[in-house]
Amino acid sequence: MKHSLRFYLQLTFTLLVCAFLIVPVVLSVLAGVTENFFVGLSSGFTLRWVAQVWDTYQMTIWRSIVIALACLVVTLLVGVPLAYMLARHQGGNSRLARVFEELLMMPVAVPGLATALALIMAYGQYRAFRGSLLFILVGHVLFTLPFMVRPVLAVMQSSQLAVLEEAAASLGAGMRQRFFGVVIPNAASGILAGALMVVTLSIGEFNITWMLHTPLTMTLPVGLADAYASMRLEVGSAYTLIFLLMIVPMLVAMQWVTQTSRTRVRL
Amino acid sequence: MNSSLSIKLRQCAKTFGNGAPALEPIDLEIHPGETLVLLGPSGCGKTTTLRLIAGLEFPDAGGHVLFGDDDVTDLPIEKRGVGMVFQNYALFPNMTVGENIAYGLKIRKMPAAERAARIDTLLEMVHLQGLGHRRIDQLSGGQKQRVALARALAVEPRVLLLDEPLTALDAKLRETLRADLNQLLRKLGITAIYVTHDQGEAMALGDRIVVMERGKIAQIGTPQDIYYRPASEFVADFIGTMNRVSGVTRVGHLQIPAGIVPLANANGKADQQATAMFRPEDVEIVPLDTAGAEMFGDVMSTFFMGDRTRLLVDVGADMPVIVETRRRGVWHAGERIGLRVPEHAVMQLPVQHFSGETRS
Repeated sequence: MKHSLRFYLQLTFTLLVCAFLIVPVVLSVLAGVTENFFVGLSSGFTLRWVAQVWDTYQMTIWRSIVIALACLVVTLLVGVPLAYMLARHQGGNSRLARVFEELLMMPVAVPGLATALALIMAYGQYRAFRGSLLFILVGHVLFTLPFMVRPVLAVMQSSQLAVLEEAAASLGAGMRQRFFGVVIPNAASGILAGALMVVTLSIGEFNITWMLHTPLTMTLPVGLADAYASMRLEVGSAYTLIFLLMIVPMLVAMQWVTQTSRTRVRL
Repeated sequence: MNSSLSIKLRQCAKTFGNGAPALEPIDLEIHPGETLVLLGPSGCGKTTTLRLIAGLEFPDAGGHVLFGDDDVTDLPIEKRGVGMVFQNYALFPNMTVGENIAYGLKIRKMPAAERAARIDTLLEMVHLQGLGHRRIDQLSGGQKQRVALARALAVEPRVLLLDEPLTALDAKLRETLRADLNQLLRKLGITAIYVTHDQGEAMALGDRIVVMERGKIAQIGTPQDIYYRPASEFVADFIGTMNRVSGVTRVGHLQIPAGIVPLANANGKADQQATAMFRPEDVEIVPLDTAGAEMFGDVMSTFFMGDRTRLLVDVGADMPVIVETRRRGVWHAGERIGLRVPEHAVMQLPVQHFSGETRS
């Protein structure tokens, strides 16, 4: 096959941009498994740093997973019914629904530090709450809730949910039967997309958590900052490696879900 | 099926949030076992009326909906025992054909074995044998609406409500499904209310038709009543094609510029301005020299439609007279022809338009 000069120029440019983005990741991963990064790769490879991170920061990893799952549960329980109400209120086109949606987005737009500061000012004096994982969870829910509500709301608005519900009602289904038998299954793609988004965001959340955490409620990203600040570069990099191993499969799953829900034939 | 149900609407009005009345207070009685068609242009209130009966909307204060002797005004749809078929099918995409049909039965906690048998019966009833395991997105539009019909009938509703069920289908399919639907409704003897904006559908399916206009009932009657004896100008124009000629009343006929139109009852007095109406298919084309020719006109254009020919004839009035003939002949633009309308085919509107009252 013959390509023009133009093609090769474009290819070179694209590859350069890719390299620019990927090289830091590769370097970071390499640093995590190198004996001494300042000496170079010639110093040899080791899993010592990974093991050290595992020993020192294992708890932050588990904590992050627990918070992400708890965050998922809360956003499911709050976000799905909320999206349903927004979708149903005056045919889903009411001003109130739009205002509410904007308000939900606020914690995403406002710097996390500000959100965290407000939380501390308001609830900081409740020591037990302040020192517990629940406090972190509140921050995460505030931040991730719109990412659950939006995709669910979008699916509920685009599928002819209102008519489906009317059909179910005409067949004798009450409110609860309609919600669980018709609404939830037909909003499943949106719920799944929202769920993956929430978990991913919660695991990686740094801004709010950094401000809210105590040494006993440190999460993975905060631990990462801690490691970079106070230990060898190789340890911090090994930490990044572990984080990547956790987050990449989730991102792939997220892509896959959006793909399958898009190819599904819409009635 | 249960014994058929009569339905009454008493002073049912509906005003939506923006304050504009969608429905003026109407009274309507639907006889047990009849198919009543609500017909009218979009925004005339026909769908609102259907939704009031369904229990998807509730009438403004003072309105009552009665099923037989029960006042169901405050009951929501799930408590009314109605079957409903929607324009865009509203099948549950997360369920198979069989599961869709059985949804209402499952809600009623019918045992699985019984349910399976019932699904088969219903599939057969709508000519979809063996498709129970199909996914909804594997069906054609016609099949989907058959499934929707089976689903609505599965729970043996007391009344079947159909909201423009054939509108989303293409013309050929619409006709087949219409015939099947007609047969099914007659066989079941179920009270049915059918909303459509298609007059052909209304005539073919309705025992009686309610023509609606801007939130009011313009006329209630059999298809023949509506077609042959329209109660108002609106009904006359909405149903079929209507010719309208104006002139001066004489004894026994109406004098128009191009001739005369027989008019038995010229609304009493002679020498009055009046308008007569007649259907295109009632006009006879006669040779010019025949003594029977009562009107003369010039052919403006002709349309050959296969089973008939449509001619637009200029009789010197504002609007050309439309003539439809089954005679095999060729007419040319500019040709002068004679026309005759039999007296029984000529209609005249009541001077004032009282809704619900027809000229005799």
